[in-house]
Amino acid sequence: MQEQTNEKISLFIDDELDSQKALLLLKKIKQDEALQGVLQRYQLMSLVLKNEESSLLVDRGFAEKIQQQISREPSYLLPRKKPEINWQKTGFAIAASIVLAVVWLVNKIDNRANSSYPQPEIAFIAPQPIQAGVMNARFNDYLQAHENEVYINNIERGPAVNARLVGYQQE
Amino acid sequence: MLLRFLVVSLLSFSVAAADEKPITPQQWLEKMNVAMKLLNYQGTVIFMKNGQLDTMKYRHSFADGVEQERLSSLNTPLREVTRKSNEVSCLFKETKQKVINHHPLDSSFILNLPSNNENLDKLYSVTLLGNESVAMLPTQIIDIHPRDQYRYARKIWIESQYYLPLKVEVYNVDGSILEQVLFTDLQVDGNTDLNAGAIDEKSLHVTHIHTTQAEPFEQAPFLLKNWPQGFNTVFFIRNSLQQSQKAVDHLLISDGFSSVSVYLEPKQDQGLQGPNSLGSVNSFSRVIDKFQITVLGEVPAKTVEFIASGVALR
Repeated sequence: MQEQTNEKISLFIDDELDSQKALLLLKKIKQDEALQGVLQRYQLMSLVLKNEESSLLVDRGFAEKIQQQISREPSYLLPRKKPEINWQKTGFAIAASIVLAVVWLVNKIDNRANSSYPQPEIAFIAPQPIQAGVMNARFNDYLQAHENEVYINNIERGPAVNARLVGYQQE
Repeated sequence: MLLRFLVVSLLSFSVAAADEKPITPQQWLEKMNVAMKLLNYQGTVIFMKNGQLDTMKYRHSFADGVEQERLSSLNTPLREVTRKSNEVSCLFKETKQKVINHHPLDSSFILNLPSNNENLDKLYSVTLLGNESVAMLPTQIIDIHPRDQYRYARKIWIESQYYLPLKVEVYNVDGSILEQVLFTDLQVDGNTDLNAGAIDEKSLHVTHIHTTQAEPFEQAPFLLKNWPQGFNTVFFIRNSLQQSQKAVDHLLISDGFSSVSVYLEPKQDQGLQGPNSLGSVNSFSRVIDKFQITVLGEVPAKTVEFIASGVALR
């Protein structure tokens, strides 16, 4: 109900309400102080929107009052923030590196998956200064001298099986 | 033939006696030891070792006091491994190459066992762990759990009538399975013709790997200060390894289930240092003066490192 009245007030201000309804609305506003306030606010808003004499609505001492308020504000000695632009640049660089690494890894994994050659299952190979081939050959020799299992497991078959050897230099 | 009859009769009598008094875990192992060596049997065996699966036809025979085993792979690469007592030969059918290794120890392809169980209780807790069927045959599970961290745990599924091992599992120190050997079928006392499908020897390229006569360990240029409990000297030889053809001192020690080799040879280049592993086999290498020491065996990494750290030159 209140909304309908407000809408009629708005139409009245815009001169879009017919005379009969406008007459009834004015009678209603005359008897109701709240509606009188609504009418004043709507008129003010209409003026501002239409930019008609809007400067008159602002108190001439408004700017000075703001200036005084600012001057009364205390000063805080806070640490300066580092320029954000540097972090953004660093962030972009890191993100680009990660994307490149992911693309490289995906290509590598994809190549392995598509390869028709059997890929030896390597559990863990840390950097080792000695040649892996030499180590594996010695390991095979030792295994053969140790037990007969080299023949059962066919360890002599070739480098693919030897690649399963896990070796690393002790720190 | 008579001996085979006696073995089967003895094992059958044991089963009958078992109705009155339960067989202890140690007795199960003793009977299995006898049955594995003296019975004729064959079957299909799956070896799961080092992340690799091999299915092989297995034949075992005992005749004229000589034990023979033969493994024929069913899948590529085709090969045939034969053991006559302590001579092991491997025939690679595709390349027609044959390697004959005169090894001083006649160990089984299926399972190594202590020759006597006197000190077994000090090293392992051996218990019965229920019954299961393997290859549609009833088995008794024997749990062999080490009392220290120097050896692996095992379970053996022993067939209830002939006491043959149908399944063996070796466990890592964290409890994960390292190795499995599994029969998918078994025929006992059948016609185990080990020469079936033999290839003409003349068409083969044969390589012999000879080992010299075993010597007393006291004559070795090194000694071991760290012996894990229960490990004893099996042999000490001065060998030449196949690829390098260089003299290597080789000591083999064993607790019955697991064996460890200690190698000493002149150091080459910068030498090998640190641990290495392949499935259940671990090794640890170090350099002492001008010598390369490598300790290798189917024991945890901790064991080979422990032994290697105690190797000293005499």
